[in-house]
Amino acid sequence: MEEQVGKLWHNFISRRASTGHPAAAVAFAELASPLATFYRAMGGDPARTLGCADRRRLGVRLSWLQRLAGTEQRFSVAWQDEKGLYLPERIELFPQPELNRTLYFWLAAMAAQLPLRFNWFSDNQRAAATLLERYPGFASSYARMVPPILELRASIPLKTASEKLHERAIVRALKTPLEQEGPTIPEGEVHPVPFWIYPALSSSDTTSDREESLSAQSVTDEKTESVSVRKQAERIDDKKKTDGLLVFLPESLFTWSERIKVDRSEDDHFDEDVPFIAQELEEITLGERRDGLASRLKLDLDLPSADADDYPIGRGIRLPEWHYKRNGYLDDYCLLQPLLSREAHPAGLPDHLRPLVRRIESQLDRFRLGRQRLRKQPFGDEVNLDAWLEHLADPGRESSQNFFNRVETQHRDLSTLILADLSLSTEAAIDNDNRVIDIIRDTLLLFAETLHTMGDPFAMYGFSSVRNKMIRYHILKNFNERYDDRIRGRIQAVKPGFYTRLGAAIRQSAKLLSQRSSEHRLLLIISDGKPNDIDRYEGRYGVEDTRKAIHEARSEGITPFCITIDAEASNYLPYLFGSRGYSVIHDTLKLPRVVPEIYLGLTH
Amino acid sequence: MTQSCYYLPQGNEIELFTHAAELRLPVLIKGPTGCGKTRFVEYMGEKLGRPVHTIACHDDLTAADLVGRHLIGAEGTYWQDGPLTRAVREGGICYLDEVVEARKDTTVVIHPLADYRRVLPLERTGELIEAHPDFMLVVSYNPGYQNLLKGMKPSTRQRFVSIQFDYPAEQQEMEIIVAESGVEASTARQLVSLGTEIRRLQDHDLEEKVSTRLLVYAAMLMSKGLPKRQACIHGIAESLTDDAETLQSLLQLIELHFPASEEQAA
Repeated sequence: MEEQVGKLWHNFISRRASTGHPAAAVAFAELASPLATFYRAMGGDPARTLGCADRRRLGVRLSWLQRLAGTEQRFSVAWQDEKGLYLPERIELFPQPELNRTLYFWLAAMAAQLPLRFNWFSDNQRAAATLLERYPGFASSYARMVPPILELRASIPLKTASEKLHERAIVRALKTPLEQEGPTIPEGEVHPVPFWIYPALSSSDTTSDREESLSAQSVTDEKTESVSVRKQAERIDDKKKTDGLLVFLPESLFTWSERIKVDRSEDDHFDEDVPFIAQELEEITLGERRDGLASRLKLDLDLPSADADDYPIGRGIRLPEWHYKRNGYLDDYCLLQPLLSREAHPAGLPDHLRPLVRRIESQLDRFRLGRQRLRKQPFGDEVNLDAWLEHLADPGRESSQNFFNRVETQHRDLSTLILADLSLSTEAAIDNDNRVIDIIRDTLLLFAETLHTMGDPFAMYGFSSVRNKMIRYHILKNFNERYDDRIRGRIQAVKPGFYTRLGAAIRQSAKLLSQRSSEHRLLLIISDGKPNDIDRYEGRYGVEDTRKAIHEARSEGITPFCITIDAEASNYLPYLFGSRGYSVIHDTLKLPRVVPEIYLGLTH
Repeated sequence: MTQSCYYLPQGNEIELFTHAAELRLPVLIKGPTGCGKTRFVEYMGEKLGRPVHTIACHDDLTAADLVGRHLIGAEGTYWQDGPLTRAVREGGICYLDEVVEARKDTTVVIHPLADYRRVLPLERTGELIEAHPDFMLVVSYNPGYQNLLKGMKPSTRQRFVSIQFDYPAEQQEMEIIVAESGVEASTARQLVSLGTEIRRLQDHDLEEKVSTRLLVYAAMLMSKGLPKRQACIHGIAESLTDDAETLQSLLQLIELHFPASEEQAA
């Protein structure tokens, strides 16, 4: 009952206090995809993804909620970091939906103008001035958007002189950006400016740096301490920075209180000893970025002992890796080890695939290389009597004197290398009977049968990795081997491996392909997710290295093509393979059937 | 320049082409769609005073379509020259547009014409035609648009002097738009910056960049009095994509340069 009353009171008071226009609200989700395209068109980094700003603020709401509890408006602000641009979940500042919508596009355009690190007050003005000057469309809607915001700002109660000074500067900056340089105003101390982009939470640090520093901590104990201190300081800093940020979400007040509890339980651990703090902080920072899985798994995965592992072939191949921040290669950084499975025994085609193979084979008849009869040709080996009779009956049409049939021998000079992702994630179950790896196995088998039937030369490899020094490159079939039960046995022995260091695997595959003398060379990658590994090879680092590897392959005259079952692949695959260089299969179970079709589509 | 055909040089391509013509070397022009390849060849034909025989290549274009064939008339069969044979006999520029689209057997007739021999063997009639001194072979293709199996063979490529084309720089593109359509410089500037923004979307959102040709089309529609925003929607956005979400972003971009409010005012 008490809760009920509280809820009612809250709804009432927040609605009273609200200055937004819920009826005209525009949600980020509706615009996500056009906004991303727009952001790229305005010059935004295509490697960045667009996301919702709201959820990122989870841990820091407590303090400003306490400070600003009551009737003021709450917004979430737009900000960007190296990985993405984060926009408010919904905008309902204006009574006209089209203005709310325009504000989203304005924010995306602003973000595209701003570098990663910038001065909040002056650079935002500069960006706004540029946009207003360059785009008449923005100029007119900006002129409509600013007055209501100024009106709202006028009602903000200001107490201290500096508050008033700051507010005046902001108002002037909004009216005419860049008219005044003025003193720099810290973004945390003024009411949020909905037209401006805010700096990232912790702009000084990025995933890979942090991870490097964290892996360094195991080297010396002294370092451990300094690292943990830095972390803690950073965290407090974060809170401070977001103190003044308001989230325009009155109805979610109750969820906040629930989340606050979680936060407090984290806080409790800070009384523990220093190494423990370091450990915990790692958890927290990674948790905030929601990509800590790899780091947490660090302890779980061990390589099999040498006896139980597959046969290594040779001493390993050294390959470079692209470091996008240094804008250069790390020479011989990766060690790729070709392996032959120990458990593979010659085996026939599994029974459950036989009907499917038969069906595909019958479909393939018309694609098979060989002789094809072309009718009604201008030249040929035999006369087409029908065409001749038609011509005699209607001699006026001289231009179409195609009286011949011709038998043509078609030839296709194409080598294909199939590279399958055998990372740990393929262990995941799809339904009661199938794991992803089972589907990949079936796909490889079926596709091999297809290529074998068609007579196209092909090779098949699988890969997984554990850091840069152990990239496992499983040989399933090389170009010279005959496709027979031995190969079928090897394909059936594939099992989930470790992580996905895609760049190195692509480099090696491209190397193998470029040794082929075929006119056309296709590198077909079957993948189930983003490139990642337990070291810094994740997020943007992995994507950039993979992209570089793909570019290298292209410049060798190889056509890379990716077939993936990752439903979110369209966020990053266009950046890697181009808009026509990949295909997303939403129903994993269909993969075996679809891959041969894609192949035929690519090559005919 | 008193030429009727308008072409704004982007680099040294005119000089290069002239030398190639004097030296009787074949020329390969690569570049994205609508960047001025065909216009350049026409312009050069006019400048050098040679007729241009343009052949648009397609999947079904065989060597016979280029060389010619026997036809059956009232008095029996007779030989009819194809466009390539005509150019070889009479002189002039034979321009094979999008040459990679043609069937493989066409390379057989191109090869002897594209090296020092400069001859065209007519297998069907047993004739061996020496190319006219003014004959010049020009082929073009778009490296960005290729089926996996439709690349250009290295052995074919290596017979040509190659010129790479791309979309002109902003200032030049503006000049071109103004010259072609007669719109005001300020409008052309907006169009060009719209073009630059859309070009950033290639690969990720769009299959191809927006061509100079499309920008000129939009400008031409504008000069006929169509509202500018409408001209961009029909001349650019709709021609580039069918995808609803990409289209929405393009419309937003257009709106920035040519706002609807301006349209109403006009």
